[in-house]
Amino acid sequence: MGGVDDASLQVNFNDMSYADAEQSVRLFGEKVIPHFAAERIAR
Amino acid sequence: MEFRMSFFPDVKPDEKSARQYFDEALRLVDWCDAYGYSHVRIVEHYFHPWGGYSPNPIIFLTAASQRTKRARLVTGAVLPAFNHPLKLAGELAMLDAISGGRLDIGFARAFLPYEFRHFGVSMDESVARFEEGIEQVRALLEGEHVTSNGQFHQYENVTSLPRPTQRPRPPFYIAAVGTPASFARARTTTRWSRRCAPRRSSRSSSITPHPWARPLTSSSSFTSSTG
Repeated sequence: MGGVDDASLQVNFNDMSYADAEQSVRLFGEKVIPHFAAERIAR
Repeated sequence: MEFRMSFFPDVKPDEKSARQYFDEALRLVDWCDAYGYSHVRIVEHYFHPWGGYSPNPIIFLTAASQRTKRARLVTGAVLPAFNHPLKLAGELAMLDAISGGRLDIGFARAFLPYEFRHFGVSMDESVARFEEGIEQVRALLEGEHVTSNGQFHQYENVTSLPRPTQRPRPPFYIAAVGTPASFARARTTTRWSRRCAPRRSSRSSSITPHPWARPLTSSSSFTSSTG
């Protein structure tokens, strides 16, 4: 992810259901954020 | 790399009520700390489903501050064109205090014609109001006994309360989107203030650190003493 150190995620837009938005927030939090947190610690 | 939770309400009342929207948005904020989202951000817009549910980001972020312990709160952004600097400085410092010093202040010029029209503000003044407003808020947060003889707002010997929790004030960011000029405005500076250019900021972001050292508009003048 060269050159990118922040990602701002719009987590609920238009008429997205709360269930879909929460699933997205949780999935991203479980599968993606930890990867980059580990990368940050490794540095 | 940091991941921010950003809210931009884009709904009509017949699609989702404000009560439902904010209930859901704040329930999503509840997940912020648990999953390591670093920031909560929301816009300031008016009068239209595109953003109009959030005419004051400070209110939402104050609620978010009570549902998080670590995430920073970002105004994304406040619009000096439509806000009196005395009001804005006081409210921002209040949120900084309530959040325990977790506030990042993003400013934007504003660009939607109907917002300017309804507020009775000329779009031709947008840049001047933007630049003057930022400098007035900066001076009010950093200093005491502030006097300003601005083009749009004037006041004398004002000490804004509450004083900021973060010293000398919360970090500033500038929205830079849409036009090359907006990026140039945010970047065209010979030096960045260490006090307002934290490492977590990114030039690739749509919010860039504020070059407060750049010249003021010619019609503006400010005096203050540091608090």
